[in-house]
Amino acid sequence: MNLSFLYSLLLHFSFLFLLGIQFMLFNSPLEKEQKKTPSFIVVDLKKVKITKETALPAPTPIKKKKAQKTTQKEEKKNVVLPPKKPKLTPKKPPQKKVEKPIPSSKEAVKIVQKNIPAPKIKPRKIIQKELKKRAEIQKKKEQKQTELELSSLLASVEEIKTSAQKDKKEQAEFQENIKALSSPLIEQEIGISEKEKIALMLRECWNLDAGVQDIENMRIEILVFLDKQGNVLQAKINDTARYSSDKTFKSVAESAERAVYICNKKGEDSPFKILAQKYGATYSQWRKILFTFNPMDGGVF
Amino acid sequence: MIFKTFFQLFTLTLFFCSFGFKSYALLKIDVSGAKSDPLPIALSTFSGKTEQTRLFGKELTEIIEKDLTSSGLFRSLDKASFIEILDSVNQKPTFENWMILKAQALLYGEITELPETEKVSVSFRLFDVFAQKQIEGAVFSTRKNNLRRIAHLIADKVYERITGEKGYFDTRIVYVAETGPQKNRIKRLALMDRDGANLRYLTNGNYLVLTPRFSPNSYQITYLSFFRGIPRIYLYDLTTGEKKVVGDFPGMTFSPRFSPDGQSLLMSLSRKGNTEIYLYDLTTKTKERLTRHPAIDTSPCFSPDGTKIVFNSDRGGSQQLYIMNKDGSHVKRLTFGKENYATPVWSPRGDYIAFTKIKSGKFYIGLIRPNGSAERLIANGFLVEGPSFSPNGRKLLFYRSSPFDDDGDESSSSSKIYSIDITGYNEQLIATETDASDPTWSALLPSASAR
Repeated sequence: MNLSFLYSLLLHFSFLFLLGIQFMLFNSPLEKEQKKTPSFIVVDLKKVKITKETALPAPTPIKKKKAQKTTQKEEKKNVVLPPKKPKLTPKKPPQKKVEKPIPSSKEAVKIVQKNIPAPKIKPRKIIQKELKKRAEIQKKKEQKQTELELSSLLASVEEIKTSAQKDKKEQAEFQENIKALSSPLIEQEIGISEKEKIALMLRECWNLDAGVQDIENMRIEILVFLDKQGNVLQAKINDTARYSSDKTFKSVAESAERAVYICNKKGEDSPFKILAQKYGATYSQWRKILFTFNPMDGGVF
Repeated sequence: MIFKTFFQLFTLTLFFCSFGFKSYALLKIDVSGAKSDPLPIALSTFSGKTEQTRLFGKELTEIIEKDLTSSGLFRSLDKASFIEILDSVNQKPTFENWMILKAQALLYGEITELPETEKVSVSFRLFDVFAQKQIEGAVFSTRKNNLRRIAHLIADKVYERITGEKGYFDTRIVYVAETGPQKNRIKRLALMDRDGANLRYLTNGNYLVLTPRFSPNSYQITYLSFFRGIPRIYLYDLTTGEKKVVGDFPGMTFSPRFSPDGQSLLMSLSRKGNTEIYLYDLTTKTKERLTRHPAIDTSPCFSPDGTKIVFNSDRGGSQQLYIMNKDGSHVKRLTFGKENYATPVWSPRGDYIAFTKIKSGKFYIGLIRPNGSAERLIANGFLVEGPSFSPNGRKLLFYRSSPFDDDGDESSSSSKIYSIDITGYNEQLIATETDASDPTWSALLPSASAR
């Protein structure tokens, strides 16, 4: 648990650090200068000479239509916004879109797999809302920035200051939210008394030959997978190497594995039902449990 | 822009990952201690297609049941409570039917007659009921008169698969059968299966016999006999029935015991009032003296790896246990109690040394670790002596003699063989035809063992 806490702390700090960098980089005056320039450059295609040397594939009739449409649009736009930097090499976004390779099915699957949402936990929903809010704020900021282009430099500096202050406030609020969201997770952790109760119940299910050789060195780790109702889906012996090489260990390990299944068959008296009943909302915490069976600590009775 | 988007996505991913570490930390629970009850096992009667094979099946199942329950580690469930009848070894059991009975293991099988031979085929399956999987299965083919042995072999398979240790049911016991009045006691060598079946006497009782010990391959027995009043060590070959004296020594030889490789014998040789331990090579017929001390050194026994020897000696003023290297070097005292220790024997699994302890006029059977720790006493009586380990080191045989009654009636005294688990539980009387003493357990029998 300590290790997990450290990881969490480390990642939180990394997150904050990167967030700070992000604000420094992307909200800097330099970036704003860049933003003043339009995100794409409109080029009058009539002025561009397409030679054979470009070796571009001949556009299909449909594409031609599209290209015509785009040029018409661009012509219209030209009226409103004339190109500021005509010397720059022209880009042809529509043609590029055509040339983009279609992702193979495997790649598409990969992307889908990566985007599988994590199990829904209430706090995360709130986080998502916060993120939506942040996105809206970002949009507003961009709008503000465009407005700033028209205002004087002094005014813009003042506004930058105020927006920066707002950002700080929002950031602080966001951090507070995170803290508030993370605290319920800690509170819902499986209690020590519940753990002890489960352990005692499993001990009752564990039948072991007291005269097994080398019993003092037997520690069996069983990984138990549970469903949301607290039923055992699978029990796996962890130390597979010793399991296959040491017959005595195999026997003791199987007795521990059997204990899990025997307890599972106790219906409502199953120790795993405690988790489903008391901690149903935090299934992700107990869907997988590592049990360490140690015959000597509590004695064989 | 692309860089910014990527940066933001990366930061957000990191943010969610930081929560992930908290919420998905593996839950760990320690289970300390266990109960040690006999494992409930359902032994379904072995089926057969003919009347004869069904009878065989019933007999076979009974032997397996006796073997397993006698170990103290299994509890056979009442057959009347069985819900499902398994008619064939290929029938898949409905585990729910056995879970209701709380059977943790299920054994069933089938016997079929092999056409145009006197042989039968015995197949069985062992299931872990709660894990719902087959954990053992085998087929034996044998002569019809060898069914008892097959039953023991199946019981050994079940025992080994459940406990993780080799079984001990397909073994024999050699002991000294005692008859007649105490003053003129007739002592004969007797051999029987572990469960008391197939008893036979190896000597006629004309000469006193003591301390029989099996060879590691169970084909030979070494023992002490007072032939014409002179105590000498003999070898008895079970395959031929031949008896021969071991060596020709100018003194009294006793306490013989085989080395783990069966190539030599440890023994005590008493000469001019001094008893020392010798190693006698059965191939070269040469002896090597291992101890050199004016005190009495006797009852030697090899460790299972053959590197050490435990023995008892009164060199420290009282009879205590000592350990030395196989060449007699580095003698180290093992016990330091005020009481006397005798007849040490090393466990085949190497973890214990069993002994007889004499304390305040009472006898005890005890165990001690080879490093001298964890001494404990597991049986007692007016006279308990001669511990011998089962081949898996889990059980001990010993004999217990009761005193005469107040009237001095000799018939009131008896000597019987008992077995006990090394945990100190499950002491059981081994039924013998006569009074019995000095029992020794054989190793697991070879597949082509002589009868």
